[in-house]
Amino acid sequence: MDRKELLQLMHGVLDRTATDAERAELDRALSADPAARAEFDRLQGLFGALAAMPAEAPVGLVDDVMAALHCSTVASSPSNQPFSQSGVLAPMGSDIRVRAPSKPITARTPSGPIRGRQDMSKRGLWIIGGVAAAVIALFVGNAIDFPASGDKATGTIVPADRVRSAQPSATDVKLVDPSRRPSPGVPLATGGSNAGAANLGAGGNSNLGAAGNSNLGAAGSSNLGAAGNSNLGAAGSSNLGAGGNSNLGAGGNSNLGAGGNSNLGAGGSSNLGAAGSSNLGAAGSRNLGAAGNSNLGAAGNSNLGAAGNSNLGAAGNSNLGAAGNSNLGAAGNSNLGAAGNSNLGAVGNSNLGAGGNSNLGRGGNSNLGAGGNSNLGSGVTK
Amino acid sequence: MRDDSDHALLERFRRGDAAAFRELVVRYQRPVYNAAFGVLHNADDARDVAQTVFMRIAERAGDYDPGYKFFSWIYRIAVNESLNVLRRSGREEALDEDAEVADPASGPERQLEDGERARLVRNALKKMSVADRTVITLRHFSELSYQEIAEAIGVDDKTVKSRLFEARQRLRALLPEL
Repeated sequence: MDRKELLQLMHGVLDRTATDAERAELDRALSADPAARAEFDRLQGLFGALAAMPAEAPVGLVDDVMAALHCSTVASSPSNQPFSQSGVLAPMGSDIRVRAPSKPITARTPSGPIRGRQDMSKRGLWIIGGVAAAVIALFVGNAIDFPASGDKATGTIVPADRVRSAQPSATDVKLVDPSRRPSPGVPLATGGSNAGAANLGAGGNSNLGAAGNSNLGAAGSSNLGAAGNSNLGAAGSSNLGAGGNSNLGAGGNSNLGAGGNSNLGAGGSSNLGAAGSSNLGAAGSRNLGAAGNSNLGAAGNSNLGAAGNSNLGAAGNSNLGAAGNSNLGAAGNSNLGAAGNSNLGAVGNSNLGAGGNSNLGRGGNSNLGAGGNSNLGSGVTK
Repeated sequence: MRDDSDHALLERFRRGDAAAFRELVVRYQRPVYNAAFGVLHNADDARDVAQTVFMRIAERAGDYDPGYKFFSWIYRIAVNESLNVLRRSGREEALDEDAEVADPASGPERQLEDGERARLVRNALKKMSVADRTVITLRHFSELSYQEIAEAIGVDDKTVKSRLFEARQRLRALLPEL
């Protein structure tokens, strides 16, 4: 039993939802572990404090509610007088506030739907008045030709002189010599890009699907599906499915399916499929979807879909789709689509679409669409 | 049994028996008020919300579906009304530490009775998110079961259990002196 499971067991017992077997299991664990016993005692103090919190209803609430109910009934009673208070403007019952006599009485403005108890004779008066006003307005408008029509209404709208400035001429525009244009290569130091670009040096962005960013050096983000960010160095985030973030260095989030977060350095949680959480700091294992384990400290495996392994510390493999491997520390492979490998540290390959390799450190290949290779550091293939 | 009785009281109220409605208010005033107070941490707002909840119950008595539990219905209204108040006042996040924390019974005698521990818990709850405060309030102050909380806030039992665990752990971290 790991620490979280032990804590959950403590909560269950203190919350009176644990079974007899669970209580016995906790007793055994506590008797063998003084630190766990101390933690349990502290939690017991918290539960005791919550249970001891004063919880009372204010004096007079019942009378206030009943008085408000009475006001509401009176306000909504129908009237047959032509100019009496109409139900249209009456406050809803729940908008009426009644306080004890020592406190001010307040009434909120109406916010609820229009009620259906309008007096028909009064409604008729309003309709007749409205039609009469419209006829008068039509007659007056025709008599004085307002608004202006025909040739009286022509003209041009121009900006005022005070907001005009000289327009640029042909000599004001300088074209760059084509031979001096920068090569269309990938920026190595800093920068960002839209769809399909990657920054593989210090900071940058790489979009490998729809939209997203990928920083594979210091800080950055990488989108390998729909939208998202992936930082594979210091801090960042990686979306490998729908939306999410993955930090594979210091802190961050990783969504590998629907939604979730994964911290693969310090502490955090990872949702890898539907919902779930995984602590990726010390050591542990989680099943994230169908079946699988994820060791995110020393070495281990993580199945994040069908089957596969993911080592996010020393060495290992990570399958984030069908099958594949992903090494996000030293060396390894990462398949983030169909099949392929991705090395996001030292050396390796990354397939972020159909097939291909991507080296985002030193040497390697990167396929960011259908097929092909891209060297985004020092390495090899284009 | 309690739901049957609640439903019977509601039926009597629909037929014009105000005393039946009064009985419902007496029965639920405390948990409804405390649910609102736990989320809002403001006695006046909680009182207003409690009153609003009962007025909504009165307005919608004819809409009540006896297939659902009455208390789930009333708590759902209470939580939603409390969240609406927070939204209207721009207080959706954790409360400002300096914000008003009016005690349900704010007299000096009551303050003394509450003691230091209650004050610490209340201040720690103020610093928590609305979601955390809501589940802790419904569980520990309104004393709802996991299933009842699930029905009140529209999630499943496992989510309630998970949220409660995480919320309590965060509360625990905010209360090292306990």
